[in-house]
Amino acid sequence: MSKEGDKRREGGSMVLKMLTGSQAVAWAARLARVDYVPAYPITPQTEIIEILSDWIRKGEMDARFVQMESEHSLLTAAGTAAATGARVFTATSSQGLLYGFEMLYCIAGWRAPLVLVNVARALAAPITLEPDHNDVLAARDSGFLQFHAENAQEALDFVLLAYRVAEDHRVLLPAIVNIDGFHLSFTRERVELPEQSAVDEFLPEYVPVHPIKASEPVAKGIPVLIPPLYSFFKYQMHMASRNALGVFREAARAFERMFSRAYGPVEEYMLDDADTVIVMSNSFASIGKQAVKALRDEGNKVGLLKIRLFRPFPTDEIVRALRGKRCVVVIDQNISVGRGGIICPEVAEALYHLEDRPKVILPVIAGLGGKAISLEEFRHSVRVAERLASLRAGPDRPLLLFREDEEMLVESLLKTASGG
Amino acid sequence: MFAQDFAIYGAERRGAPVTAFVRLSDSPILERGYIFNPGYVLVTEPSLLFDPTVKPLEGMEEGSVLFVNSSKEVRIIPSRRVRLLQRDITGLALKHIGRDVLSAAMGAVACKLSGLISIRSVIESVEEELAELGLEQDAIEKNVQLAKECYFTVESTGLRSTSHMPPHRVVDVQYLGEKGVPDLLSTGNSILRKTGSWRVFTPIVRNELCTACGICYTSCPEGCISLDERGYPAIDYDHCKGCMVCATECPRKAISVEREAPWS
Repeated sequence: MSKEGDKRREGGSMVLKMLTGSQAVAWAARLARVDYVPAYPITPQTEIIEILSDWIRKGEMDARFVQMESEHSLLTAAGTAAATGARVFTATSSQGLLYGFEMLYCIAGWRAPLVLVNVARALAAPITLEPDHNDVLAARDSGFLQFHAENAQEALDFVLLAYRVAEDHRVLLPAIVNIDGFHLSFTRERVELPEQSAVDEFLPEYVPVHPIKASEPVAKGIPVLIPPLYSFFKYQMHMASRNALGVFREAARAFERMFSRAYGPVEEYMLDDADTVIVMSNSFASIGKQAVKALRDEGNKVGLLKIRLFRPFPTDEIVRALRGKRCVVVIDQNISVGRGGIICPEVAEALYHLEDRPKVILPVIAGLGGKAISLEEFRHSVRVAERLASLRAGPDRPLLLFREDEEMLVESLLKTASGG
Repeated sequence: MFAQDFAIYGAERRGAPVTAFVRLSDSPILERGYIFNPGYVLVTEPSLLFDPTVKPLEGMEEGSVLFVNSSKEVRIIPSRRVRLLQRDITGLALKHIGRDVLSAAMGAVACKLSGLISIRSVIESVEEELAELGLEQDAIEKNVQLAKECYFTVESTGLRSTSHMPPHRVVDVQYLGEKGVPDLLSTGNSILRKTGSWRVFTPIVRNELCTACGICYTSCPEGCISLDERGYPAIDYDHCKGCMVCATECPRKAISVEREAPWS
């Protein structure tokens, strides 16, 4: 199929290709002309660094590739290189992200912009390979900006946007671009691959602020043993991240002018006349859109709100999309054990003070470990929310989407595991 | 036209079954991940048809097409009215390449069945993909010849649109206490996993040549060969992956290599 899609558009500003999510982010790193790629392999991220090491080995990409001995070293190398003024790209996944976790806070605190792709994979134990978002959301409070991609095109575009926003002197924070393992990383689909010259124009060379040079020593992330200083610097990071909202909107406008693809911090899908809105993020939002179409065919006024930019949290866009709606169903593909989904309380807090806030905000847990979400499960969650709204009641706990056939499978496997 | 492909792999080794999916559509594709109601299922090995972990026939609906790579007639037809096609693709791979490599071949079959993809596109894609993998020109050319023969050995069946997975009730998951922890009490149960389905070639001991030296027994990496009371080897075909280490090591060449023996 690849050749049939491999056609140059009239005017020659881009090439259409069939790319996996992994290939798309590797292309983005190449087009961004990154200087340095520290790497350590982990399923399902490995394809990305294999592609980059291959290009660098063949001289098709002018960058330095170093395989580190762990993700902790990887992130340390990535952050320190960024502090010298290099444009740095790296990628990891799941256990790898957690293994390097303490360095996430350090890199953000050094105000060193770089782009880290996280290929989402559910966290052990029990161990698995398919995605949910407990890995990337564990990094939610670190200071990294977070872009969550639905498809290979967004994956490529978000890496370019992430560099532009992260390196902006009004922001100076690192960024994570999340792509779901398998469902995006190994899924090949149509991607518009931008021309190098256009990317160069959109993303000029990185101009660092006080870079560390051998001739001009700078101390980064200095010890501040006076509590008010710590408080001050930490809140500066927060304001930098809030600033990134405006910088993102500005960058997205420039991106649209250059590449004809428009990105808001959220995407509104069939929202205009919707009574019930499903809130989702990442690759499973595709399945959510498919379900919205099917539910509309059945006569339900349903829409979908996709969160693209998770940090900074796009409160204004979320309020604008959800105010006045009857029901909101927040599908969290993650679980804060002992609490419920991570995103739902953030959405609820954004809406709390509105006069015209939704009657029901239903917290839903679905797709953990990559579990499929069927149309029946989407339909069920919408019905539960609408029933609660008509009863003027609220949910007493999150709704787990889990099916009878899956329960039967679990029962039979538990029987095998217990020797029964 | 829009296309999407997706593969599931992780802990597999060469020869282990893998699953891959392709979607084709006139409009942008919003589905992702596993295909639960395939219009076409292509199975590279008949022993996989009823593999309890792969379940390739699950979700096939009336009118869908099942293509099986097999040198023998596939006798067990699923209960649903599925259109069954079969060809000996491995035989063609052995003819063109000398090894049981099937990706280009099965890809070409799928393209032809769909009735949407020209032989020119198939050839270009095989060339491009295999070049990206770093194959030599000679190996690429052999794959192209194989793909061509496979393309012309089947008829197009036309594309059939598929629907969502059948509805299943949403249930409340109950708390199971100590029974709900991921503990495996029945250890040593990997014997239940019949890795014999990985096999393309089958080793067969010819007792008239065998001297009961036991070298095959010690060299089998899977521990699939046991010795009977007289010291002659017996192969556990439920778990033999067909690596042929035994046949290679046998000093008397008493282990022959056959394709799809009756019990495979």
